Amino acid sequence: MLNVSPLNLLFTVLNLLILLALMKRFLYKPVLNIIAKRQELIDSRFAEADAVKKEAEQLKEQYEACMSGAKEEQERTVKEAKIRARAEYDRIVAEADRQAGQIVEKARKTGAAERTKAVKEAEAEITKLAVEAAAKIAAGSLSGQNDRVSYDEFLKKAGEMSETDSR
Amino acid sequence: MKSMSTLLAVGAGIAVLTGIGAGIGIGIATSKAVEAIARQPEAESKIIKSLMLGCALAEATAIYGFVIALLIIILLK
Amino acid sequence: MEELNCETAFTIPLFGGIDISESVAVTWIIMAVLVLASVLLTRHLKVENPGKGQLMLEMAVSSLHDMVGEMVGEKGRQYIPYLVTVLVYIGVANIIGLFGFKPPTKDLTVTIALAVMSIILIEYSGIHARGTKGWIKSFAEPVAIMTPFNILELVIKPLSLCMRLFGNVLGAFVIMELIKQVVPAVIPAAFSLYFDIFDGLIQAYVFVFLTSLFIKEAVE
Repeated sequence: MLNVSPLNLLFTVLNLLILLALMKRFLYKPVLNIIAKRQELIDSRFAEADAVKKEAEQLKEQYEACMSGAKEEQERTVKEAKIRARAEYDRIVAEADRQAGQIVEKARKTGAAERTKAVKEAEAEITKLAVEAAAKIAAGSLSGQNDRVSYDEFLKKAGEMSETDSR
Repeated sequence: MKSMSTLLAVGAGIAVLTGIGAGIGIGIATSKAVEAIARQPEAESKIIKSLMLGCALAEATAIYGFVIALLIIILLK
Repeated sequence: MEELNCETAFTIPLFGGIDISESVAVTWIIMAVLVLASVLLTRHLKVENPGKGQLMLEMAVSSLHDMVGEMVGEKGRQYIPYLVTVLVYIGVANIIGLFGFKPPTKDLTVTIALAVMSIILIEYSGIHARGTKGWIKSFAEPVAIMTPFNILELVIKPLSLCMRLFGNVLGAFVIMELIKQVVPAVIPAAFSLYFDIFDGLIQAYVFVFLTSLFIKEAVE
């Protein structure tokens, strides 16, 4: 137990060195190799995943840009359409206004013409009556009574006429 | 020769008394470790690790005494 | 008390007979078992989809590697394989008593060999890291007056390493033998759980821990 033999000490040292070499060769190297390889694999996978993710993000950005463009386009279209509709509306209203004005004008003109015509007719009638009365007075028996009757008649007719005219 | 072996036995016994120091040391270390764990239960594994190491090192003194006792008995017999 | 003695296992009939002690023979057995086991375990290693056994092997190796690496520091990485080997060897040697062999670490020769290798490695790492001049200068640290003590440490370090391991294993062995003499069955099993497995592994850890601590001190 306590006796130390140098030979066995040497043997033990050699044993340990051999064991170290063998363990390095058979346990350490393969296992650490495989762990390093797996780490490499995992790293490459991670890099891959990162690349894919970046790509996806790019795509998403593109899509979003697209979407916002479409939205703008849509808004612009709607605005344009509104403006156009407004213009159309204005135009139609103006047209209608104009037409209505025309109609009113026309009606007024027609009314005025009618009136002048009526006045002219009345004047003609009165002239005719006056001429008739004058003829009667001139040609007829110049009795006082007759005179009187025809004069009344003339007044009456003239009054009727003016009544219808002023209406 | 009887008294000689008696003296050897007494000497070996005295050598083994180093165990007292180791016992006191390990006792103090353990009590401190328990206090530390009570104060910080989340650090338990670390404390236990240090305690194990400290105990093993403190125990070494007792072991030295034991080895000396053996040497006395075997070599001086 | 015959069990305490380390007998000659056999004699090789060369150069007038070379005595092979029991501890060396048991060391050979341990070496054979370790190498065979590693060859068998590392036969079908796969990068992808590793089996349960491979995962456990990888976990064991990498956790041992990390544990020792943590102890020895960044600059002592190259000594990790040696330290792991010694850790595994001492661990197996300490618990081989369970299988009926005499633990080789019970033989002073083996622990002296381990301690001598440790101190050589420690000083070698110091020379390797600082150069010969730096290594010689490091004896005068932290102050010049400490030089004799630092030189004494060259002996004290391996002596304490060797005696700690030897004494622990021998003490456990002696106590186990005494218990076996008093109670032959059942109770020794419970005690061997502590003395053979727990104490043995702790001592292997302490040995490697102290060695790597000294190496770390020497290289930094």
